[in-house]
Amino acid sequence: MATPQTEVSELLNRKYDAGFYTDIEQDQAPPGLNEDIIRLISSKKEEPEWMLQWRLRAFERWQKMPEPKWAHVHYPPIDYQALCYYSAPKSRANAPKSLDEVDPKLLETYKKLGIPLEEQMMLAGVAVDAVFDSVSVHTTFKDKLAAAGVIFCSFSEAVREHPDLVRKYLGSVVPQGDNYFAALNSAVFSDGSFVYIPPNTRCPMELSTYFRINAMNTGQFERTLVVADAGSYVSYLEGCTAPQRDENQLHAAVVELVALDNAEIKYSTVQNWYPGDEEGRGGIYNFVTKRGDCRGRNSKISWTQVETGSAITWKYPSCVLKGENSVGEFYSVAVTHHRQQADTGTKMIHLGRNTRSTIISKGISAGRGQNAYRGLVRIAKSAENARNYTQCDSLLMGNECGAHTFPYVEVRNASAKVEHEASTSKISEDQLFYLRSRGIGSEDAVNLIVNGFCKEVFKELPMEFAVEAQKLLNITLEGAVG
Amino acid sequence: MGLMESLARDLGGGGESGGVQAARAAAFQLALAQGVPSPRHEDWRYTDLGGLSGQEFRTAAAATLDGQTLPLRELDAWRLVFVNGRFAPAQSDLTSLPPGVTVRLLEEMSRQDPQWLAEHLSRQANPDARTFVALNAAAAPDGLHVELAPGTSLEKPLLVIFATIGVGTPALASPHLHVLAGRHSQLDLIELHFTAGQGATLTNAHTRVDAGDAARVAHYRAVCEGGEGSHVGSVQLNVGRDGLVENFSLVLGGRMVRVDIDGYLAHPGGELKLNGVFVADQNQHVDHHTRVDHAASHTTSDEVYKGIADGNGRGVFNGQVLVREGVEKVVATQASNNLLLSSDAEIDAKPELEIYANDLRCAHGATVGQLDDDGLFYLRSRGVPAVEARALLVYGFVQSLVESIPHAALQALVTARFAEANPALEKLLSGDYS
Repeated sequence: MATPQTEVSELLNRKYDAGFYTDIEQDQAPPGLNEDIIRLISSKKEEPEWMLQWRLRAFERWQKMPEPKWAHVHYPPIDYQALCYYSAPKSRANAPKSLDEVDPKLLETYKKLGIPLEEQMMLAGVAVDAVFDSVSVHTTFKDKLAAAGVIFCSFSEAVREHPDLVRKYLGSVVPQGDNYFAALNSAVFSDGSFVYIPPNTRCPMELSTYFRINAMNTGQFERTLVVADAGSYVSYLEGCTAPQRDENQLHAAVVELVALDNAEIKYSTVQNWYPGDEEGRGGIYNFVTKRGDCRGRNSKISWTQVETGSAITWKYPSCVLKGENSVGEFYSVAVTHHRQQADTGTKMIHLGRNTRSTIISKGISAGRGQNAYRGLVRIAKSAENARNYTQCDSLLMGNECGAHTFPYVEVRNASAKVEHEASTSKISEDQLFYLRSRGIGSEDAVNLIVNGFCKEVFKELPMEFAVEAQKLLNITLEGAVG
Repeated sequence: MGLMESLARDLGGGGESGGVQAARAAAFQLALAQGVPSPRHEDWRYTDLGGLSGQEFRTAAAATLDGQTLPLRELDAWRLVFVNGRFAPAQSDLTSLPPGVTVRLLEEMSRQDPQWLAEHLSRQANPDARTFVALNAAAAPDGLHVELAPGTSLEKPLLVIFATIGVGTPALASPHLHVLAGRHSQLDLIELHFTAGQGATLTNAHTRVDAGDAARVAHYRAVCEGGEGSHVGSVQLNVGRDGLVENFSLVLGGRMVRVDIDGYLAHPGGELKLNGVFVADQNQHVDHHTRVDHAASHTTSDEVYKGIADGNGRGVFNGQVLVREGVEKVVATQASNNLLLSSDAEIDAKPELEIYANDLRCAHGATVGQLDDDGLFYLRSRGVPAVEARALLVYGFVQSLVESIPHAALQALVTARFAEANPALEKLLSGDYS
């Protein structure tokens, strides 16, 4: 049942497709983290005083916190004083008004990655708020969105233009002191996206942000805030790739979602940051805090993620189901290959009556990858008739990888129904044999089986993303089955 | 004074040899270094011993027990009774025990083979040991060592009863049971803990089963502590090559009960079956932690736990399955089903898989739910009153598991516990529907 060994090793040794480096001048702060750096970041972004104070309070909290050690991941200690906390492309000095003013090198970078902004604008009807390192460079379809009353802009712009909205919702889902990495982000977040959908509005297009990490030794600290007002709907797409580099890079993002009465937010992620080479050198540390707050009645938040990149993923997109009848969903595919490590999962906190949640998690481990699902389902005493269904499956390829499941189920209401099931097995030899006996090559057979394994998650992704996700998965796992 | 300090006063002495005393002291130092676990420890996340550590426990003094109060009197078995950790020959009966079985008290071992005892105690208190296992090794005043010669098969079960008699002031008992089952031997072991008397008690029990190649040991462990009795039990099961070890944990009473069951599959062909039934009502807290360690290829484990939480009770199940690197052809299944009957009750379940190999099939499931409305409706539509219908369904939830126990007296123990909560049940189970 084996691909010939030579073929396997050839495939295993293929290099990261999106790995290259664009040489652009950087406006960079000196390494280190202290109050002065935070003041510098804040002043560079021309922030009001309250924003600075908010950052400083977060920094104060962060200094008193220990770095969490409970995740099933291993990495050398991070020297937070050796990192740079601010870096912006030079072009920011005279911010571009249109695509023509954008540094051509930057545009080229996107093109290499297959993210042609113009094409995407025309073909897919997707507005792109592309974040190159720290400062938003380009935003499209502003007018069309503005007509619908939708606010979709960089975080810095939102702080300047819509301070009331930002003040009202910032930190209301993920407080400054929520956890170590969220506190760090709150202190030094560089930029990100802000979305506000006004009441009874269906966002006319899917919103999308492509993040890239580019400058050497620069942690990227994105902050995303999506607010869906009563009766509104928005689908938000987040995707990322990063150039190949040998030094580990820290990424500690925070994403906050707020859904008010009858609102729905669909948040999809395809993550393909540099995972490090075969020996585990380099690669991104992806320590992300993502949480959605179903604040209103009948609200719904749905997380879908395809995680194929990063050396280490530490990420638990969660839903706080406060509103009556609110719904939380989590669909995830996480792949670890070579020496990648992932500790990911979700939390569903049921507080309101008739709240429902679904968790579908598919973990794939290959090479020497370690993949852990860590999830919490909590039914509070107040959550009458709450319902949860959880399924987490792991697929193992190779005898040096690991798959782990750490689900926590806490039920405090006697009307709740909670189900959890998990399975772990290697890729079925019978299925492989069946496919190969019908003339399908082993590589294609593996792809077919893996795609079938992940189908439940992929069908939740918007179409363009689903295609990209499948491609990514196939590339990531090439040669994983021997 | 903390739990540890109050225990320290009663350690040592007792005329034991230097080696044994040294082993006990080392075990205590280990427990002391680890400290009383708090909910900050991941392993004790859902169980707070705060209520215990405030009390000044003293090692329970020797006491006598009226044989009439002993449970499982009707069971046809070889019987050993310990009261407050000390052997009670009057209540015990080992008549016509086959020659292949050696039953010795730890106290005898301490005189006859102190080196073995010292080694045995040190083995329990290794640096990876859980705090309470180390504490047991340090404190156990007496205990039992059972050895089955190769090929010995017992046609009757061996029943070991550990009774803790409260004396008004907080009392600690530390029963210790070690079973060495030789090659191709077979044994049904029933271990029962219960409390009598007045005042708070804490039983810190440790059982270790070392099963040889192709040995089959079925270990039934019932905890029936009283309203003020707390229980911390640790069970270590080592399965031999092509051997089968079964453990059935019944927790039917106790204020705070914590049972740790560690199964170790270090030889090919080994099989482990872990089952459990627990009831937590009123203010009871019942916590099961199981760990199955697949350290060899071609090993199998199967686990089914059923829990019921009612009143202000809280049930906890944490089941860990570990498959080590380089191990192949492993099948591991686990199910934790729980019934939550009151909104003041709580169920916490954490089924864990930790897998470092690929040629295996592992699955686990956990559910928390209520009685089936359709079932209730069906029974009521046939004239069964609501209370009785409920009692039947609650018992029905655990029935299949309970009836897999091949000893009627043990089954009756469970039924009696359910009938206590729902008096209607006894009548119904006896076929009286009038």
